Amino acid sequence: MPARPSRQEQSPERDARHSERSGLRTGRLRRLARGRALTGLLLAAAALNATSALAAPHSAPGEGISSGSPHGAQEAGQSAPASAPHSAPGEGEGAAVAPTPVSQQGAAPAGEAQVAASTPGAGAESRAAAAGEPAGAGSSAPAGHGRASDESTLPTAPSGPSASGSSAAAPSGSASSSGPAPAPPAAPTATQPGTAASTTASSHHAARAGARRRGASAAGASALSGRRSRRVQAHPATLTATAAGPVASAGAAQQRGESAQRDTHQARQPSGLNPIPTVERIVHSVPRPIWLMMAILAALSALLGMRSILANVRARRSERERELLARAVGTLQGALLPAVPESVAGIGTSVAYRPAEGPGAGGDFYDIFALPDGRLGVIVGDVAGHGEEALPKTALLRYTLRTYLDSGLPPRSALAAAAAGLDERLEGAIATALLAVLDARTGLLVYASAGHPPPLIVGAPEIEPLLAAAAPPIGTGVRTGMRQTELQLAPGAQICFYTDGLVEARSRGELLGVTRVREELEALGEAASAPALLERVAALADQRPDDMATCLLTLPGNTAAARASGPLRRTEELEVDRSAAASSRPALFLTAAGLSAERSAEALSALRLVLREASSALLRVSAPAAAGTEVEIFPIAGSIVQLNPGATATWLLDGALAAQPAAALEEGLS
Amino acid sequence: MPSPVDLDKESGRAASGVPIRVAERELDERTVEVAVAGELDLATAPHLKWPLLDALRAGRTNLLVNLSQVTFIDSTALSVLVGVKRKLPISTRMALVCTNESVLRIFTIAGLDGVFAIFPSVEDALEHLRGDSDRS
Repeated sequence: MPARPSRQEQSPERDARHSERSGLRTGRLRRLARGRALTGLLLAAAALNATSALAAPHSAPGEGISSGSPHGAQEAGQSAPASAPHSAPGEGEGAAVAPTPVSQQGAAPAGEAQVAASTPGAGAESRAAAAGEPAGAGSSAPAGHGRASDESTLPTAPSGPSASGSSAAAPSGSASSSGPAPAPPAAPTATQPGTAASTTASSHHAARAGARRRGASAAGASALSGRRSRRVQAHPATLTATAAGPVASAGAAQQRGESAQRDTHQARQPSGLNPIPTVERIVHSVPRPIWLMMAILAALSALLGMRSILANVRARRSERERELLARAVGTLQGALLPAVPESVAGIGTSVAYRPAEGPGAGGDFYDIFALPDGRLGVIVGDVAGHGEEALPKTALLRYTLRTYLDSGLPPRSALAAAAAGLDERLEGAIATALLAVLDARTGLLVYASAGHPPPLIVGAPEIEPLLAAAAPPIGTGVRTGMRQTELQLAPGAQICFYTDGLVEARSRGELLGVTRVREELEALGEAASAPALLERVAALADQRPDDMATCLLTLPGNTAAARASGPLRRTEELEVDRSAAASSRPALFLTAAGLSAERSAEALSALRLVLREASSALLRVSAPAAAGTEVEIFPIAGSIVQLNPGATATWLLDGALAAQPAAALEEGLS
Repeated sequence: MPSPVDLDKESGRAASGVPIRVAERELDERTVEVAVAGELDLATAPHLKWPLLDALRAGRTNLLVNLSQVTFIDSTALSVLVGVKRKLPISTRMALVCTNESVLRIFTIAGLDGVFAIFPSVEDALEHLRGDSDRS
């Protein structure tokens, strides 16, 4: 084809100009112009022409166009009119009109047109072509184009309806004017995507190609490409198109040219400032597979974004829940393991708790409080079992025991009375507990245990606690609260209550035991505190299968001196009822309390005598007393704490328990 | 004199890592001996609990719990023993055999030496069980 060489000659030239104006225009565009996109461009241009052709009858059927023609003809020179007649018969109005202005274009304006066309759309393109007109036609270019159009249109001519040969003749400028004039029809073409937008380099080629097309087919193409197009593009295109419209109808070629130029500027300006057209240009030159990949990537990133948002929301929610839970657990723990002031009832206090490693947590409890009579009450205990099921029982136990101790009962009686009521409520679980009362003024410590390890008295290791005939835990179904211990302590003495978690912690497989714990406590010296003790025990142990709880009380006074002296006096009590008297327990108790076999037998026979009258009696062994170890036996009227089979407890608080020497008692009874 | 129970089957491990072995055997039609070796704690107490409950369900009236090879017993295991004892039907007896000093001390501290019938040998325990059964 002869047309091709001319195209090839010109396009590089234009491209060069392009790259001057916009750095974005690169070899890719060139490739597009020359390569595979060519056909698309042609289609787009054809569509443009088709719309303009459609518009032509509206704006100025025949005359309108012809009125425009003179101006165009002036500059168009001979080539345009020459080409027009040829093309006219071939293409119908639009097609016939289109080629002419293009052919008239000078090279320079063509470059401008390209920019405009590429940016706002095909509508701009047609206007650009109009702009080219007045600029007036590089001699060679029009000529070449004229020729090209001649040649190209000629073959198709025969089929053409020749429609308005006149209008086709008119041409040149009018074609371009009619392009912008029909704003509405121009819009769709303006929206052409890649094809129209990328025309740029060969806008007039495309236009010329359009000349080769039939109006109908071109329209179809425009419709097609329009469908693929983006809506956004339509806006600038229609705007400029309508702007150009009046100008075109005015029929002044110069005016038209100026306005068209203005339009191209307007069209170009957005391309410089507005990133959207640029983006679109890039978007449209992206091949399909990349598009697909980009879409997939976008979908993936959207999914990931959603996920991270969801995860964030979830994390925030779970964090809030954790906070609430921690607060709830804190409240619960506070109910079982209350914070204790540094000093209660004139006695220095400290408490500490450390949950077990593993599933053992939840059973330990303690409480320290001032009694109404000004003494200090302590409760330490441990519900066997673990976890949630132990918690309600632990709470029940702690508050029940505290209430009984608070009521003014001695620890043994409080324990016995409370245990009688608690026995069934523990639902098979057993619990150890220790209730104690300490008087800051006298230094007298009184405690009763239900299966719980006795407190450690710091600095008095030589006095072993009396373990014989210990009272069983609460919940065994067996009566408890028969034993009580009184220790007269020196000022400054330290007393450590603990749960079995401390002595059952292990170091290299070995239980720490009471001895090790006592050593640790004494190593802490006068500044010993419950947290410090737990710290040391925990550091020492490699296994802590159970909770650890400890309370440390320090009497006012010289702690160092108290450590040296130990307890000043110790009294052990055992309540014996008739059935217990038949067992070996009273004998074991008396022997463990340091009585000789002879004195023990003496005491037991006195006990039996007492129990002829009373349902139970209290064995009381004190040491050191003025005359060595002293044994007292008190008949208990009914009992201090009488437990009915129905597990309701009543007790007598009258102090009608006269202390009588065993011998005297025996004499009196015999 | 009954031969010692064969204790070579490991049933589990205490928190300390010491394995526990539990075996049971029938001493007569009414009497079951459950023998334990190792440490009884939170982790291993169930190994003691189930055979005892099974024996009760099977209608045994004499339970002999041999703890002579137990080296440690914690409050959970004591709780198991107390729980089983509380479930005993009126005609059923339970006796413990315990020789380990530290375990005996734990029973004593807990005040459970008066709750359970604890004997130094299987013979003594059997005598107690059978004598009791005969009486009841």
